[in-house]
Amino acid sequence: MSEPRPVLQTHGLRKRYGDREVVRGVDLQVPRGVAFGFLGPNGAGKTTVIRMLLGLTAADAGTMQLLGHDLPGDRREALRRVGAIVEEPRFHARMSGRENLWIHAAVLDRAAEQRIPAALERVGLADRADDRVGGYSLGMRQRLGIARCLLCDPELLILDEPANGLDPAGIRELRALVRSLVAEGRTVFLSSHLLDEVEKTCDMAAVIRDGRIVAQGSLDELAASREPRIELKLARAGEAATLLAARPDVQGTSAGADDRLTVRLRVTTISGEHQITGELVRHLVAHGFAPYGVSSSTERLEDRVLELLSRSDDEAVDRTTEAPTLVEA
Amino acid sequence: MSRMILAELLRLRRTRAVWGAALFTVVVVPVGTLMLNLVSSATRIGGIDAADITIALVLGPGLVGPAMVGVTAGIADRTAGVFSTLAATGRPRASLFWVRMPAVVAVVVPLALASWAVPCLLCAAIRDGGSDPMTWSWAIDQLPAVLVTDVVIALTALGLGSAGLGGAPVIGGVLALTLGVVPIAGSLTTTPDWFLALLPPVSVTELVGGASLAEKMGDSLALPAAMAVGGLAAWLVGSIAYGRHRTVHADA
Repeated sequence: MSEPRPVLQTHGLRKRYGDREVVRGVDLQVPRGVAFGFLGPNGAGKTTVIRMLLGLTAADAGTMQLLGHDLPGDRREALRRVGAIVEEPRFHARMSGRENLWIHAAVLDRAAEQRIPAALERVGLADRADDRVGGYSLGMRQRLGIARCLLCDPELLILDEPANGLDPAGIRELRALVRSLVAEGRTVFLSSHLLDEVEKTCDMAAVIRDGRIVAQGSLDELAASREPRIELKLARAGEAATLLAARPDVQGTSAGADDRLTVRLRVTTISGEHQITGELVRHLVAHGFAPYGVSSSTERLEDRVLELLSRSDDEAVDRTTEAPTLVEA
Repeated sequence: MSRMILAELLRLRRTRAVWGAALFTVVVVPVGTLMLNLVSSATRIGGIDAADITIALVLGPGLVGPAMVGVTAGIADRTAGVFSTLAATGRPRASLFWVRMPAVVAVVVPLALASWAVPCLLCAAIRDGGSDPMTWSWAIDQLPAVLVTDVVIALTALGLGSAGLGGAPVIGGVLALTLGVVPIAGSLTTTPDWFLALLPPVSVTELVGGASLAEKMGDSLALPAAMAVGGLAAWLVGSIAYGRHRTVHADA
């Protein structure tokens, strides 16, 4: 059986503003039904890629497909079931939330108008829908932006830095909302410069730096492509290091100051790492140790991404794989 | 498409600039002119004389009102940052531009009617013994000029606003045109016809009659009708084509 067609696909996408090439041959493949993080520092080219996908600015070179339709040729059909927030959700401040949605729905179709109450309910703004948007908090505007995305019953949502300016509670709500959209079979393409946000929200990610994709794939693959390691905190770290070094699933250990013990694992996936971590802790406890701290794989992913983002241009090579798995640039 | 036009109308109704335009055109210009008329001992109060001057001013600086409506319709989505979201729906950008035109006309026509009716009613009601009464046949003769000039100016401003010009340059341009260029050009016998034809208030009053600030400042004008139509068409077609082009092709 053939693989389902990606909902978003680009090849060799390029964009230049004056002398500066801000997007330099971006290849992306986003499969259906996932939350896909588009991760990179500010100025890496994330928003420019999104603007090209949405037809807001023209690409200088390369090909793009959304939901199986070519861009820009079949733009109307391609974008018909794409909901997007570009940069930040903007509205007519003197109009109510409901009126702003109605204006957007008028550009779509009659069915979109009928979805307004449900969309407002979905993002928890039904009670404030008739207030002027000028009085909304940033979190409420972000939610209203997502409600606006929902009006076209989207197969794909493109959210550009949706967590910007949100407080921790707002970020948690956003995360839950994104996950619920994915659970319905929709695809969410979420750009962010916040690694933590991508890691907690997304199933897959692409990392962009200086206009180039330096890695993409599932978060497991992304994290596991670096030598996996965990860090334990426990008394008598030196003795514990000797004990664990004898295990076949441990590649090496090193005990440091402050009860710190670093353990390098023989494992390729995060789920495998979680299993081994549990076994190591049980093993230590069975031998009279009492670990009081275990670092999560988050730090590994963070290390990995920081490593990718800090490499020089010479080390980065365009990736050419067609499979949506991690291939380091 | 009709829902998009209704949406444009709703947006215009919710914009402060539109209410400011209405206040300026319907209240400030006619009532202000009559107040000056009342406190001035040199002119007659009310009647046909005051009505004539007031309508000429409605067709002069009073055009700031329709210009504000037009330029607001042209820039509101971009100013609010909403245009990119609308463009990202896949709806052709040209259609986002075209729906602004009927919405602007729908706002400007009542505005023009009010800016014509208010001074006429006031001048009919307030009159001292020295002024001839204003007749309604005279008033009705003024109506086409007010309607056509307001619509032409509003649509021109819509085109220029959509092309990326801000409100200030467009409003400033209208004021400079109506308070400076039109009276001066009208007062100079050497002004070529083609230049007069490019002044919308002059072209319209030459075509359909009505009080003209240009004529009040100088000699009677006699602009060929074809040239007047050409002048108006140049403004309308030029600004609308430019506005549409920028709406469709500029980065959103």
